[in-house]
Amino acid sequence: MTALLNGCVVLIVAVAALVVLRKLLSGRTNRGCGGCSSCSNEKIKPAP
Amino acid sequence: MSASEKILVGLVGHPNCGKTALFNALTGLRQKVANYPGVTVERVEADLRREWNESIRLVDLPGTYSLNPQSDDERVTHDVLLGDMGKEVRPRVLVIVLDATNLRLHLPFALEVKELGLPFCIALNMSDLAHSAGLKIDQAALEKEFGCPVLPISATRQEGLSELVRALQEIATKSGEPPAVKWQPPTRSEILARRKAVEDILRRAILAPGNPSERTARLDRIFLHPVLGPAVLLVTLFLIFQAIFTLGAIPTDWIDGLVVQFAQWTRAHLPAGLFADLLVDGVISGVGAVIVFLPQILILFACLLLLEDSGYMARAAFLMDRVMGRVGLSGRSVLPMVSGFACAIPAILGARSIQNFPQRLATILVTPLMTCSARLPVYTMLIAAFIPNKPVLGVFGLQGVVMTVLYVAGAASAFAFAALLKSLKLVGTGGYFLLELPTYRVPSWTKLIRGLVDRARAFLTRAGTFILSIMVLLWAISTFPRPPEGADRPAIEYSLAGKLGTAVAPVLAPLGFDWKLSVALIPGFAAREVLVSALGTVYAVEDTENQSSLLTDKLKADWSLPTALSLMAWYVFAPQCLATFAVMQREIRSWRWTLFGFSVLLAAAWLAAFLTFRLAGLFS
Amino acid sequence: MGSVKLLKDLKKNSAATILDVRSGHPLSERLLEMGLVAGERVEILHEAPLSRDPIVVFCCGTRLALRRNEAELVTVDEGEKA
Repeated sequence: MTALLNGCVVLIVAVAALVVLRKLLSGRTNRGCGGCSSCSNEKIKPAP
Repeated sequence: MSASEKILVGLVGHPNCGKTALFNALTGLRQKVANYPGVTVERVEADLRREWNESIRLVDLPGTYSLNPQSDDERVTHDVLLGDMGKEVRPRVLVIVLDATNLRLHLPFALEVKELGLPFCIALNMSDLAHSAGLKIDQAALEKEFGCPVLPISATRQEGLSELVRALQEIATKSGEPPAVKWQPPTRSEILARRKAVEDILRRAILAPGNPSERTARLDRIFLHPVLGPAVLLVTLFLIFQAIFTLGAIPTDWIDGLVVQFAQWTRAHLPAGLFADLLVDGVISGVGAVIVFLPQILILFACLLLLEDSGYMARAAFLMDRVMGRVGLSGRSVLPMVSGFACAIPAILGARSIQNFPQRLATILVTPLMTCSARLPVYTMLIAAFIPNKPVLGVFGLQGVVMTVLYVAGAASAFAFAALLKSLKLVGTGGYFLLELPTYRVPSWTKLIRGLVDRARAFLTRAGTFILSIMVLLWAISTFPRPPEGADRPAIEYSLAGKLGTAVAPVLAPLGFDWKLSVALIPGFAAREVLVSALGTVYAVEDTENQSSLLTDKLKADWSLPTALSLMAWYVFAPQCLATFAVMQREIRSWRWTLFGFSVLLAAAWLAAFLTFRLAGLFS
Repeated sequence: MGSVKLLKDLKKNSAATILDVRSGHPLSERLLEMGLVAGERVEILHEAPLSRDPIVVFCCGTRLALRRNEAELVTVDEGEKA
């Protein structure tokens, strides 16, 4: 039982690491704001 | 049918004529709409609602007074319409959206767009308002003048939309490759000639001029009054900050209690071990610490939505222009800076509507100092733990006053930074201010509620994905490596996080920050509010026996008052949100300026926290 | 005559007829596009607190806020009733 639960812990930590990495690498950092949907634009293009 | 095979239809018109409201009504999307000219600063594409048509895709464009752009948001529209952004994004058909209540102002733009040679139709938006003002427009006469369908609609009331779609369908089936246009900025005589032509058209098309409502004039006599106006503005802002703290505190306490109970329940029903530690210390303490602030953030957003929707924001811009001008900003900086209370990122994008580049650059550099909603959890937690709720002047609580002081400190330092930029002649001077003041409107309650639901969902999604993941990682580095057998100090001091904290601590020790706070500040660079979660996790890992107590109680036991005040001062300035600086770089396209902004804020944060810690140390 | 002046010198709550908008300023054409063209009536509705700058003018069915610096570009005639 303990081994199974510890296995879960490793899995969860690995998934969390993936989520954070993907978020940081995706360039979609513009979604990383205070939880508002003001910038619901999928991709924000650079200003001309 | 894939997006590239669909026929792209562009929405164009003056700022604040209702393009985005129409876009939302036609696509089912919820792009931000406000009663302020220049809210949309980027093009947004989406498919027309399925039930209407499957072959049309719409693109919403920033509003512009002419095809000759004066600012970067207008340039987006110019570039898209002329195909400078590439063939894929150039619309084949246009809907020219006009404010039916003021055709004299809006029609010259329709004539200008007509010359592009794209097939189009005209949507007379706000026809409901025109109708109730007794204004009568001869639709057939306009159709004859422009050689295109003219449709009365009301985007907010969703009237006339299916007729508009039917007309669009007909035009779209006949549309072909857009013609190549050699565009040149319109000359003076062209502008005047178009205006003359409009007078001729109006003589035929306006059957009854109607009586415009006096409401806006009456309200402006109060809101723009030389004495009453500024007083109303100050009282409004003060009430908003009081409301966030006093109204928000009640549901916040309920949620806080629930989170603690849930943590205890989980602990009691799981076998002791790593898994239970992860769930309780990492997930529940961490994520719970952030979601308790949902009510306060919603109150803040509700206030901002009401300000923007009523049309008051443009008045605030007018009242503030002089003060802003003194420090090299403009009245147009007011909207980005006030929306910086929500989040600096859309605020920095919103600065695109500032016509003059030095003013825009200064606005972008100072906006991160405005107290964004992600700082709210940090302030609230510190205030709740360290500031007694004594009454001040009989009516206000000391806690609410401290919150207001923190907001004012943010805004004041933004002004100071702008003044510094100006006095060192780092950004150019001059600049201008020109803004159309919209008609006041009664804010729509359904829209407000929908906006709040969207924000609540975005906030919870973020807490459940990004913040959750960061918390799991933080728990992992605070737990491993495990302490050696017979260790006498708390386990966390042997972990990776403990080592990291002790490494950073010397730099932050002069500010009164211990190694645990130093660890918690690091994930705060991914998102400011994570600091609260991180403290929740770090303190929960350290102290597994005492699960029942709230984070605020643990902090009260562990920190001195000078440390808490110093952390508040740090948070007023610190460039803790890296996403903000990524967007800043993209908008001003200069690493030099972005790094400059980042370092100035970092230095200011360190100094302010240092001084606060020393000063508070003297008094206590 | 004698009633010809710059828009920036017009008194609050008084109306005038636009004669011309000077060219050469980055906003000259924009002012024309926003309805400030010769023959149009213009009225100063509000002045900002303290410095009385910027101002709000009513013109072509809409309210425009602008600084006196920009209002300097516009010549008006107070006497002529359009």
